[in-house]
Amino acid sequence: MRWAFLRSIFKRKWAKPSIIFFFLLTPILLSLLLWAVFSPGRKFQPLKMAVINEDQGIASRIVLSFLSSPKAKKWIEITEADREQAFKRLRENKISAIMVFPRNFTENYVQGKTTTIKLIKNPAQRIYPEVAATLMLGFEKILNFLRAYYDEEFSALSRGEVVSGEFLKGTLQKTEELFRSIASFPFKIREEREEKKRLSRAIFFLSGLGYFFMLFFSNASITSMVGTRERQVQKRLFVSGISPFQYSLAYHLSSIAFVFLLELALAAAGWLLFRPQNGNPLTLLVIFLLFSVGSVSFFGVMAGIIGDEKKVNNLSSFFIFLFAILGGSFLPLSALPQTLRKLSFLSLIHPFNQATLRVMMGKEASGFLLHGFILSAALFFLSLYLNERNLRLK
Amino acid sequence: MRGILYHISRELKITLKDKTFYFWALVLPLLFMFVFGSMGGGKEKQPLKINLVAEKENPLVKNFASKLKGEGIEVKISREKKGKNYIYFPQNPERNPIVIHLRGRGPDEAGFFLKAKAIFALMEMWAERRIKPENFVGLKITTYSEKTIPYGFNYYIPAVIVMMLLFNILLFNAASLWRFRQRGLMGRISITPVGKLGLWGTFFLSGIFIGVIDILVLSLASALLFKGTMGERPLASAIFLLLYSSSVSALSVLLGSQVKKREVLIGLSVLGANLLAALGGCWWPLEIVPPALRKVASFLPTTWTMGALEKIIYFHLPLYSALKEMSLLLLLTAFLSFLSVRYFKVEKI
Repeated sequence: MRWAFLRSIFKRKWAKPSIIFFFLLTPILLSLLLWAVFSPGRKFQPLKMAVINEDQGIASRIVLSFLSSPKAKKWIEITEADREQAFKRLRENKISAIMVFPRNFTENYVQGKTTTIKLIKNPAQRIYPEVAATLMLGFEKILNFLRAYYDEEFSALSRGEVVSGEFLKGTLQKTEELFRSIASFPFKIREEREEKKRLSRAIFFLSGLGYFFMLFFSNASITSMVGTRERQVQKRLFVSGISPFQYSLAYHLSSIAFVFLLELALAAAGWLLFRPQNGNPLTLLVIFLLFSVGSVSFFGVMAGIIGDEKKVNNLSSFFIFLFAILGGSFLPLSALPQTLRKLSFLSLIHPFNQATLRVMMGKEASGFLLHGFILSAALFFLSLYLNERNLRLK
Repeated sequence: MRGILYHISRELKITLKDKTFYFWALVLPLLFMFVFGSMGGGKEKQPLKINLVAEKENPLVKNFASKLKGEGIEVKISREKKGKNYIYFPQNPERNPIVIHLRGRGPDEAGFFLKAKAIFALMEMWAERRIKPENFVGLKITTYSEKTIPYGFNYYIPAVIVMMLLFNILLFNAASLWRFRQRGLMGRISITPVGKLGLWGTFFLSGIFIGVIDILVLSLASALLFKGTMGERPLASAIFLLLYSSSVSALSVLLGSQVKKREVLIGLSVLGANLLAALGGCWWPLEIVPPALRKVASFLPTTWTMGALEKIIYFHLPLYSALKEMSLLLLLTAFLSFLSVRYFKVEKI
């Protein structure tokens, strides 16, 4: 091996520092953004809803006062509006739904006649209109229960009967009983979060996006070998006594070192920014090294087979995005459609990303490491062989 | 004018001959549409699946499950505690608490939704022990203009088009202008009758044409492959996307004529396009975004475009309903065009 030759190839890889800067900055900024949006610590934004109260009776007012009580304000923001205003706000995407109390709602409710509340969902939103529907279905049940519970009282009220003191006493007793049973509500709910195994969203996304952007570097780094071949650089080098094997090996090693160092830089930035709790640095180094070998060699195999820099670059872009999608770089694997999830093992990113995430969660990752090792080793030798053979043929 | 048209047609021919363009303009967006669209339910809305874990099946569990069920909600009773989020129903729920298990990564909405569903189901069970409620009050749930909410492919197709317009116009048009500068062609052409302003017009219009090709190809391909539509007013959607393309084109001319290094141009385009797409609501619905980020997003052209497309596609409103967004985009285009004309460089790099 000619070290001077290896050094000169390696040095050339750093010739364009600005693209390195941007391609390292992009995954960091995107991870920060994704963390801001999907962080588990993010508070639930209150559901914004407009109410068109065509009733203005006591029943709808009680429901509204309950929905706008200080306790409920944490979850729901109600604004009363006329029809025009409410629909304008919905069209402007400022609210998630509109609730409409029909005319004579209170009268019908008291008389025990069927009456319907309308909920109009915002078609441009996905999550909050469903939350509104769930809440309103709950309220529908509460209103029906109360109407049935106080049936005697409501019936008397609708008949316009003069209520006696005894009747009132009975109603009060019923109410007291209701409050007592609410206080001794037999079911309790406890929320449980998997805190121990929780991994910061930022690290989760940085890992996937980092591998995705590293593939661009791996591709550019090794496929430039085909470009130099087209320019007959090899011929000139062979004259100076460098064998095809040495040339191919030097290109592979310098590309692997280049990608590995960039991964370290990204990991260092991630560590400084997000301060992960777990993660054995030595295991992580092994994963990064294996990924560098695997990714460089994969594009090396492509370059060896195709032999044309532009064609390799075109095809590489397709593989890079495919690997990123199947490897969980853009979204968690659990969110992928079932059929695509089954194909994730085909992604070059998959074993390394999964191994990184498991290590960062303090879990064992030997299965993925072995997968990555076999893949990288096989690709490395194949790439070395193909490129050396091509150089000999030329 | 003939000179400008000649240059535009030449540039477009070069772009269309470039195989990379087909990857970015067709293959990649269709891949995104397929993956994100399938994730969001594909052609129709997928039911929400709630995993109810109970060690032994008993009438209480079945009753609880029936109360949890609803329109678009599927409840599966299982013995094992598996899955991302689940509700654990103990053997004796009146002594032991019902556990809502959430995996730490999930956003808060999922937890809130499960908790609300569970509380209402338990309240119903509790109420039924006292009294059999009758249906005095009904709840009618509809969507604005009584249309179905677009899910899956229909939801992601416009978002992917907005994102890819940004990538393609910035990457191809700005790079093409940069190549002209690098080869010293700008100086030579600027002294012909086409002139400096004509050259600016050539690249500005070329960017818009790239946008037109993108819009046409992606709308047709998504309609054929995923049966996705651009709403009941496809022309209104296309006009708005064209307006958006002109803003992006003006930005690409500004970048292409200011940046000296090709790699900086690519880096800026990739970083800018990713951030604008993510912040503007092309990656996720803006309703779940924290208020501070939503405030930032309100200043971005991607947000205005997505907002206008929402009005046209989901609310079935005419083009003029998006007058505010249209004015903002026109103002931005005018501002970026002014800057790109003012600082348009023809000197060789």
